[in-house]
Amino acid sequence: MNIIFISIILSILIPLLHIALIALYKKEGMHIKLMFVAFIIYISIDVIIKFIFYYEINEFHLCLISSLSTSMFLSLLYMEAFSMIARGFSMRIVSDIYLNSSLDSDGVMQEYASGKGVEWMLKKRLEGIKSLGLISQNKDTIKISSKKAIYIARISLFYKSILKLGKGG
Amino acid sequence: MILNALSISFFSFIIFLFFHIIIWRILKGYRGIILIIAISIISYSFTHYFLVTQIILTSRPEFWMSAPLFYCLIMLYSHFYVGMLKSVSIRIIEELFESEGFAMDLDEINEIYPAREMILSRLSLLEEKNWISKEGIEYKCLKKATFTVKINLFLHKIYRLNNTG
Repeated sequence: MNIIFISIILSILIPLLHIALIALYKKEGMHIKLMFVAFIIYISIDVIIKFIFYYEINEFHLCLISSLSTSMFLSLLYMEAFSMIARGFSMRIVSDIYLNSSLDSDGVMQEYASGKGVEWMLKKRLEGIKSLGLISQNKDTIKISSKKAIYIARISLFYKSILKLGKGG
Repeated sequence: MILNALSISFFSFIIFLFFHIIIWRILKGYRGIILIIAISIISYSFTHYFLVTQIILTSRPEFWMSAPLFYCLIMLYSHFYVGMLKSVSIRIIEELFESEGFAMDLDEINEIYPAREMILSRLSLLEEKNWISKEGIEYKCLKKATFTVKINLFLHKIYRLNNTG
């Protein structure tokens, strides 16, 4: 039981490490990579502590699995929270309204993401999948450029049809 | 014991997937993360307290031994579910896959994601949930939104986030 609590207490290291790494690197677009570095450091520290203090206890291997599962659970929870801060659509709209005191619907579209405009959001998503090599762009035409993208589309369509999720997105 | 605890975690997860698929295929209304959490609790309780002791008749491992792995699997699955359901990038890849020659014009993609509709539907949802209010044609933040935005902007500073949204 204590083993799990130690993982939970140590999880405070995730945001601290993440913020410290961002402050150290000061480079745009590194937030996600640095988050994973923070996860690796946190999980490593957690495992080392367990080996030092609990190695002799009965069923240590089982305790270690529980502990690793807890660390991974907390890391995934942090990932979700960070994603909401960094990419949340509703939060961005509300922030823009707050920063401008009040806005009409046209104003919300123009001021989206501190004045970048709502078209920027779609462009950002397209740039993201382009940088992963899943799609390519030739002037105004977007095309699937790898087998990986085809597998992703097949899996996604199959999954959505099983759960009757509709188009999503 | 190790096999017992791990197998309970994996078996609970299989039961969770079974209930999840059945419910999602039947239910027409709300189908979100809260329901996933509820199904996960029911699935784990069913396996842990009923199936193991009443049917399989083996000793039940302690909660803290089997629950972390099970909830880690649920958390992984929730990320997968939300990603599949909400991801704009995945939706674009799907649309490209279903189009002729796996290709589309930017205008066609813009038709799938009409910016105005996306913003208007989200604004009415935020209004409905009492995050913003409409005064004439202008939207204003309500207390709940103001408080959350202040925290969010503070976090943006700490994390040095410039390109959010």
